[in-house]
Amino acid sequence: MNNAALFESVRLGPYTLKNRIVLPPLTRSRSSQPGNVPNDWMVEYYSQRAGAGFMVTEGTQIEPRGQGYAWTPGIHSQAQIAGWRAVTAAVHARGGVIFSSYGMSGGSRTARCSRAVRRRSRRRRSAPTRSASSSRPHRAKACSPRQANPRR
Amino acid sequence: MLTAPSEPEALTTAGVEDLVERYAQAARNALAAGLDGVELHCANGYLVNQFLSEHTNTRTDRYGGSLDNRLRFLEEIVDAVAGIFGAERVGVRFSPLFESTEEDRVYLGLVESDPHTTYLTAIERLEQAGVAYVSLAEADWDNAPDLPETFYRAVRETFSGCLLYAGRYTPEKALWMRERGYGDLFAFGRPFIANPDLPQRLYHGWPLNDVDPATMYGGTDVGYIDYPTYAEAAAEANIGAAIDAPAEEGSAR
Repeated sequence: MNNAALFESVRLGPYTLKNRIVLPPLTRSRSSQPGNVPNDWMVEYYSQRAGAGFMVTEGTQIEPRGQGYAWTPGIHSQAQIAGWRAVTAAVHARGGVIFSSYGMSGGSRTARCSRAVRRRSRRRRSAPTRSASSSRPHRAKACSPRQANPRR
Repeated sequence: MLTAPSEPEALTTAGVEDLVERYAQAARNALAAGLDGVELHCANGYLVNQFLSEHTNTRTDRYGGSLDNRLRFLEEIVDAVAGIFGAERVGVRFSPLFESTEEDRVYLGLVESDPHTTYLTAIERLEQAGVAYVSLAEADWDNAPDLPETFYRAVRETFSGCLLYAGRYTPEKALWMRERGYGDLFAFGRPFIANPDLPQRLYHGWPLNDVDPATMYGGTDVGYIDYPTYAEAAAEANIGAAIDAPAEEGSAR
């Protein structure tokens, strides 16, 4: 299979991207606690993947009410901004282009668009089951966030 | 340890206006943090999707009711973020589902009664706003359908910036889209989790590491930054072979 077309360069806004292969937003829930701060692990993770023509960060909350899942990084505190600065510096050093995916989950912790769909809220409170690839733990994890606290 | 989530509450009109400003502040923060742009997350049943969707938006203020009103929050946050980064450094992500699934994941997204019209209207507004790209997250469950080809074509005809597609993409599907001119950029999520050097592996036709579902969400550096590149895995295999060889010859270790 000739996939040369995926390696053509392409313009996106003011940027010239080196290929058409993208790292999409992927929730990994590895930010440091307390404070949901981007850390050395995240710097390494994004730096490793900077061969992508275009990168978008994991979904990031713009304020605490916007967080939908445990240990996702925010972009509202000074510590978080400093953490992201380390990520972007590492990506830029490897010639990457990286946008922030951010917003508000509108989920059970947060302000929503309209009155809650209570049926869904009730499901979220039960213990999350570990089905295959796509279940997301809302609060409980085998590893506590304090164990997962790398040096910043 | 499980904690019970707090009860959600509907935003007041003033609360919505305040949120628009918070999106703007997040853009200032992202700029200070060296990010090259912002992708507004408007997909997967999260807040902006809740405004857009006829199923979840039951508001009676100017942010609810008609499709125009349901698009208002999206337009206001695009405007706010474009004011800081420039529209040419803003993207918007939707999950324009045409079918649902038995899978019980709220965050998959919402299926509008007429997703074609809903999303093309939204994309037309983004064309007018001059944003850099639209990102479309396709259905990504097992055996999920593609979007209708009529939709791919209409999106391309409506939007002149970059189109980024994702959703269990394979190189084959990306090339199919590229040949028809439907998309410009293609995302590969799970393969990129497991293969930090994914572009090189695709370029050379090297095999891919499988993703480990158990370490996708949360945890330590294991399953996060320890997936090997192809070169690292090959070096590891050679080292392993060198250590094994003397034992096979019967010499003491």
